[in-house]
Amino acid sequence: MSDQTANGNAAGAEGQPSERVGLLRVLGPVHVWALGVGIVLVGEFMGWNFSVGKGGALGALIACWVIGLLYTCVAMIDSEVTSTVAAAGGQYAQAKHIMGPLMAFNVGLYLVMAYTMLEAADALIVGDLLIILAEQTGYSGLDPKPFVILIIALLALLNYRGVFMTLSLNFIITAAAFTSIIILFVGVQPWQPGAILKHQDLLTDLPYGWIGVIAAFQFGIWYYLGIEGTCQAAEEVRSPSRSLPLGTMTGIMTLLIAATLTWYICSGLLPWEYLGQAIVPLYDAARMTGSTTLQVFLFVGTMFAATASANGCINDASRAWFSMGRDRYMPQWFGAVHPRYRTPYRSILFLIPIAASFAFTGLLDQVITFSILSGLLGYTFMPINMILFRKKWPLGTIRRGYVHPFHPLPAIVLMVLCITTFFATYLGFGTQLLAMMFFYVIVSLWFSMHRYKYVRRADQFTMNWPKPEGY
Amino acid sequence: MWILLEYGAWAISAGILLWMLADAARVNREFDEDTLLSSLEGIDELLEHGDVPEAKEH
Amino acid sequence: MSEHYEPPKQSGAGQFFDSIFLLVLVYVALFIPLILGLTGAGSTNEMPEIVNWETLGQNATMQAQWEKLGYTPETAAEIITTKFDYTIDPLLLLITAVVIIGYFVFMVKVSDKEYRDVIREKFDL
Repeated sequence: MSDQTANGNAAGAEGQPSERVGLLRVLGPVHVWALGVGIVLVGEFMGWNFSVGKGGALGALIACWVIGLLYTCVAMIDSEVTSTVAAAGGQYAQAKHIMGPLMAFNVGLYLVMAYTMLEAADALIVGDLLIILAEQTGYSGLDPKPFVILIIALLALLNYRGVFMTLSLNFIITAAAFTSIIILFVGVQPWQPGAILKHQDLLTDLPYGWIGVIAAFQFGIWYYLGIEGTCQAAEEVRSPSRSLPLGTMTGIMTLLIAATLTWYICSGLLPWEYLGQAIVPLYDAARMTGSTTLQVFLFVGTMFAATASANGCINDASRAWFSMGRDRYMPQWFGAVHPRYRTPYRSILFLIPIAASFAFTGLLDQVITFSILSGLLGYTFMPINMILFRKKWPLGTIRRGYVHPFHPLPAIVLMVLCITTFFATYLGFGTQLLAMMFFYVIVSLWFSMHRYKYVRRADQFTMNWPKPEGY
Repeated sequence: MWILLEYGAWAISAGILLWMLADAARVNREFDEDTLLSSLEGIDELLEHGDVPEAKEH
Repeated sequence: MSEHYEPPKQSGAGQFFDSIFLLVLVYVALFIPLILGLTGAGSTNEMPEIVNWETLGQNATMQAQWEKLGYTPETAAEIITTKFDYTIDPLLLLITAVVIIGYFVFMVKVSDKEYRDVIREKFDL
């Protein structure tokens, strides 16, 4: 894109630089897959199992598939919109073009919050794993802080120096982590039920009945949270209209497989009460097989998954923050691109201390809940966005890279599932839900009354589209 | 050994962060702020040649 | 408003202040539930009088797995007997629903108003 932009606008008006510095268009579908799956896969190694605590093992399986359906809708809708609105910031840029500034500001914040907070949680997992490792080698009382900082700093450096290396590395470690799940699956001999896997004796009836199944939806989200981050790469992908749908759809398939395998392995090895509160369930499952090799594989797999996730989160959060800065939704200073590495370097730097502070304030539970709920708000936005998108620009009026089938069915299904998941969150986490809504209401007012005055109106609309219908 | 690793991790993290800050500061000095802020949104191949519509309006 | 809207340029200090303001707000939202002492899920705990694998409702396979994980009935009891409390407080549910729906309605409305400005400036001027 460097050449195109540089030539495209050489004759800028006064005060405009003669050469534009933009993000670099170097990524392929593989990177999109690595970005999407990389962020999410850590959810199979930890987090999803809290859904077992909320609804029992079978309840968690139902949640896994129902939420899988939710995310399939998300992936379909996102593929269509983002293959058409191909801009950094993903859903933020979509909202800006389709729904309007205030919505876009909120969506941008959902993204930054969800990813930065997830990044903090990922870094803490790496720290926890090192504590386990240190204890096994006979050293107790390891201070995880320097390692948590180190992992954040290293990944930030990688992101700072260029997106191609960042996501190529993500591809390798994500693929390795996925392989470790497959290896564990083969290792527990699923063709011989009863030998290692003991589903028959471990599975119980639904401990809370059907309301527990609905409550389990909340953490069922962990299986897939972040797959929609693929859109953030839109401005750096070589051919977005092809690569983004391809990477996103193969990503969601990978995750559906990984989620089901993970459930199958863990529920066949661990009593549900234990599983419902375990910190690293897949690693525990590997321990239960008694095989040191599997244990090592899963240790490395968990470590890689957490690293890949943190890496993708830095990438996505900084893109979203950068795009908001570029449009002056946030201070303009953040809209800068590094002239050599072509990355949003100021946003990357700014988010380092924030991620670290989330990790060290001892608010991890709060942070994770906030992260999930910000994601959920983002999914609630999508069906509204999709319906308006088809209404303002019906098929045929603009060129779409990908058109998803059965509209408006996916949008309606997604909306129903989002409402159900809000209810699931209310069951047990009602106060956090309200506190977070309070935050978004206040920032919305702040944006409308204060920030929006710095925004150039027409400049926000950058797509080469005709006027929307009805305006 | 772990103690050494802890100190090592602190040192490396500090080194990385300082390098990034120094690089950012250098870039800020060497380049004009308008150049740094000059990126434009979107520009995809759906628009044929990646031409930037409306970019020079203001 | 027949002219292009020309926004003011924000000073460096103003940009800095706005970034900090947003961060402070995030922390306030994170701390509110802590301060109100309302974090985590509501739960109940019914410990049986005699604690062993049978009274905890664990069959032979479950016992074996627990023991493999390094638990005794005493250490596992807390985990097994703690249950979520899913009783629904209709008032709180109603408030939550109103807040979420109200937030979305407000946002869609205001966004649309701002969006009309954007479209007019972009296409009609």
